Amino acid sequence: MILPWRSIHRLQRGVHLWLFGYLLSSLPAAEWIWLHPAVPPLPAPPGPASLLTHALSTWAPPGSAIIAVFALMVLALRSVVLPSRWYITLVEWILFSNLVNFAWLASSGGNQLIANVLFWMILLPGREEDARTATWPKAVWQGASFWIIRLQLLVAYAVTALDKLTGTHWLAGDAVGIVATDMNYGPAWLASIPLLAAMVNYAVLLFQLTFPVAVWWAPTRHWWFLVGVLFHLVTGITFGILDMGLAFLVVYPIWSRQGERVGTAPEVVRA
Amino acid sequence: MSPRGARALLVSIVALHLTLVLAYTLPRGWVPARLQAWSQHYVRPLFHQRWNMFAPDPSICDHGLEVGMPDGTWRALIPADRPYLVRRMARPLAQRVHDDLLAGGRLEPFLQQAIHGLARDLGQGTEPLRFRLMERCVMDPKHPGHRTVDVLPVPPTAR
Repeated sequence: MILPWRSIHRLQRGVHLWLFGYLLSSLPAAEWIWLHPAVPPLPAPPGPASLLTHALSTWAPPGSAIIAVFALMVLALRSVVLPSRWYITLVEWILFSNLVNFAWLASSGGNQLIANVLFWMILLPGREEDARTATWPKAVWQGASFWIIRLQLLVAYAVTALDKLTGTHWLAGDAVGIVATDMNYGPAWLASIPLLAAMVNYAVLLFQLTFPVAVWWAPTRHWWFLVGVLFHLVTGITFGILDMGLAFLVVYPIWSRQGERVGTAPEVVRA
Repeated sequence: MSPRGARALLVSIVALHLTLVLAYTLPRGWVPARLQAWSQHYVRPLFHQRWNMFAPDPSICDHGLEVGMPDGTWRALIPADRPYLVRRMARPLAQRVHDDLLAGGRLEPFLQQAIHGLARDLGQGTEPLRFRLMERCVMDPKHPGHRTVDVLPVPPTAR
């Protein structure tokens, strides 16, 4: 399978840049979430995997979280400027999963998206050569990771849209007005123009429902990406979840295929 | 392995993962119970995710926790000048406190720790800290700006 190297490379750099920026932005809150957490961690889920993903909240010595933050910032910055390496991405995923679980109440869907993408990025090629000439079994795990990351983005949009269709207020056009007047979100002025609030309501629903379909074709993909950038920046800034919006946007490049193609190379697989 | 076999394996891996992630994240009523249980075992430890922000409906009530000051006034438990990652905890924390109050009035120990931890800047006085929950509810979804305000006292707990 020939993987679109430029898309993968942009995804890798974008995710690592996001990691660095997110952790940098968390430092002013370090006293509350990393050094002396105000909110105790939740119990780790059963199973051996939690020893790896909940180390900070179980067996790691107190004060380890801030060390994990700085270690991850260094590794992420390294992977922004240098080629990704699977073992470095593996360490990054372990550290990030731990930090997300440790500061669980401050986490957002963006953290969950990046944690999932980071896991599969471990298996993606780190060099263009690898993306073009991988042989069995590498070609299979690289291809599977690539497609799982692509579909993960679509799952996020599709599930939230379908869930909204099972409710009342999104279909009635009232949901955005309710969110806008919530003291934790805003902007409250939006609800004072009911027609605008209803239009935004249905536009959000339409965007989230159609995104998983529109990204498969280049002409629609570019327009939906543009709407997505606007949507995530506006909701990110007004709701105070900019990191979540940016988490979605750094995954978009995995769907860009400018000048490249995704295909199979039978002779490569067979080799 | 033949190209066809490799492709079949790749598609199977992706399809299996996708099916289990969808079973974990889609509304419960849509997914058979057994598939849901399998997805819990597979997705929860390594791939946990929830995509139900404001879904199926946004909450018609918003909640805010407040802490009593020594001079008798009240202030937000997480003031607006805190870093954004601390402020972000205000809503889910208040929602959990609200749910516990509705369920029987006693806060789970971790919630007690959390509200005291977030009020630690008030110092170690001898008097127990006082907390209350402000609840503002939409009465008519067509006019969401008009909300009723309720004050729910939070039972006192030891520091």
